[in-house]
Amino acid sequence: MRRKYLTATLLFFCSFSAFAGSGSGEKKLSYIAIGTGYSQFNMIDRKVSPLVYGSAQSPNCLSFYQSSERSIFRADIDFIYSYLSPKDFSERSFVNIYPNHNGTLRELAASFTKSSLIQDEITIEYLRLLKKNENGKMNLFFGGRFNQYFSYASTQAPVFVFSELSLNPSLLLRYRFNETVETQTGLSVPLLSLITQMPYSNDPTDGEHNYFVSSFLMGSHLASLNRFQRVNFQQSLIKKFNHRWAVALDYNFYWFHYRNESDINAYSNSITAKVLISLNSKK
Amino acid sequence: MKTIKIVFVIATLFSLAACDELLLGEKEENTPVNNFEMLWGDIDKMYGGFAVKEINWDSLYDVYRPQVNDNTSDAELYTIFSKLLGQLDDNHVSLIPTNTGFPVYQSGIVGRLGTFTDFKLSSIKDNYIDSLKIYSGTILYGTLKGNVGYILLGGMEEGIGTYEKAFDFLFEEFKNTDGIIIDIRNNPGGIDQESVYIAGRFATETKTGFKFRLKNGPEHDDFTPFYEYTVSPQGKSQYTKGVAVMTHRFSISAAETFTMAMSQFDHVTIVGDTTSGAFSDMTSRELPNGWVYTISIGDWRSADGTSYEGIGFPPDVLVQNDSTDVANGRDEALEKAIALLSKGK
Repeated sequence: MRRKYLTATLLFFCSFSAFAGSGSGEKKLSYIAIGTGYSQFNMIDRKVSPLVYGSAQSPNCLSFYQSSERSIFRADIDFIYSYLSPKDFSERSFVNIYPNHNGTLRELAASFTKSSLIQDEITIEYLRLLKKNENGKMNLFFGGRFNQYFSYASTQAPVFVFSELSLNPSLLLRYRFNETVETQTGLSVPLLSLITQMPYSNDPTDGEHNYFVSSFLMGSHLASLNRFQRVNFQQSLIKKFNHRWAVALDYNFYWFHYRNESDINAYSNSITAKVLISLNSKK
Repeated sequence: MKTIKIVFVIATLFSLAACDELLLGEKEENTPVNNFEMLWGDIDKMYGGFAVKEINWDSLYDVYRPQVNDNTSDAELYTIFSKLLGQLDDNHVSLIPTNTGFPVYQSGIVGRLGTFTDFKLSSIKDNYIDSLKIYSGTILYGTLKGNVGYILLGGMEEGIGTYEKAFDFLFEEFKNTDGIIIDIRNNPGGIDQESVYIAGRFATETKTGFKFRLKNGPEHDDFTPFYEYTVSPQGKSQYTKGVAVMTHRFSISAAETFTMAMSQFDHVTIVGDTTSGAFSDMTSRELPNGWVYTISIGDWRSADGTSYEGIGFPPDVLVQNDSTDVANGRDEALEKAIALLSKGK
């Protein structure tokens, strides 16, 4: 089963490769990349809590990357499974009371422990060359990016749900130090987004659908910059070893603010090390 | 050298990006006054039962707010909060005063009674049933005198898949009985979708089980339109001979919506004491001091539009067990239910 999923994922990326390369005769370099790293995620969702929650994470990513002198195409999947807890209260204990069948009460000590946090982000981005300097080392690209982001934490106290589907204009600055080393600096902001949070009542129940479906039906809103602001920043250092192998060190930062009945703010910064495998033949 | 510069820039960005206040906004002050303001204010905007319970929340602010100042201790705050939440008289309202050593405060009749003396499982096991068997953690069963099947549901959140298999098995087990007793005494509830599914295993036709609406704005009368839970025949078979559902004051939440849904069918009789009176879904929230509280966020009604929130769903046959009888192993409500189902013989 796992192999089927891997094959399907690779086919998905290869289809993007074909799309991105269609109608062009110029030389394109294509890579598949896998990576992992360290990230810090912090958030406050005032809909359910005034507390700041934080998480130290180990993100995993799978990317397809294709570039030429005139265009860059990128598709990324990031996945995180981690734990979340309030930053000011790493552990909270309490005394619970239960009725005995004989008419007495029993007290039991309990505590809120760390809660599971599930996040994923899918990014599909296509950029065209906008400008380059005289020696050709510095290239500025402009394009668009589709972003899907989902974050879910079910703590023993509140439930945090946030989902984003957005269209973003994006800029990317590529600087080539030499034939084997380059940096890329990317920046994007969403202009149009479909945001899903828990509904006002924090209870996604409609008597008909399961919680997952009814969350989207009851808690989704279209938003533009007036309600949803997000900044995605990426700094990447890439070193090519030969025609087949390369490595990259990425720094990613995002911050967002969603204004609803109650605001949600979150930010994450991460460092990821990636191994890139070229899909091109030596010639 | 350039690489070092890049690493330096990344490190700088990392440390800049760690400024919580800049990126997440101002933190709520953790003072007794602000904790009170947040508790009162959030409940004001979120609680779904003000109208049906005719609670004047503003007047309670005038009573309790002056009792809090910045020198109020945790113990005093716990007492004030408990009294305030007690005014809601709602089993779904509770206060979890973390890291204080004080016990969880429970509002509503469950909190007032503390515990119950009208039901003891061991008396059923010892005096009424041949053998009380365990199907799963919250599903017990056996055959009572009078050829009546007995199913005890200790919760409503085992999952629909589990209940589907359980009732397939139990209906096969009880196919030759004259009736079934579903005992939901001491059932704290669970998930409405599951309670509706279980009711569907006894449904003879499709009916509205109950209605509800959710808070969708800060005013006390800001609600969504009413949604409905429809009960329709579920699973590969339904039990349509006589059924008695046994309830008491500790039949709570989804156990109560189950009772409301079951009451729609003519072959079902509700026997025992009134249910708890906490039908609405609830949500958890937090305060700046880390304390957690729960509140009801909706308005749950029976199929005919009546609210039993804070009142409890009344049985068709009211039998309140005497605590001395129960201590001595007698369950009068169960005897009444057996008699009702055996009557046709």
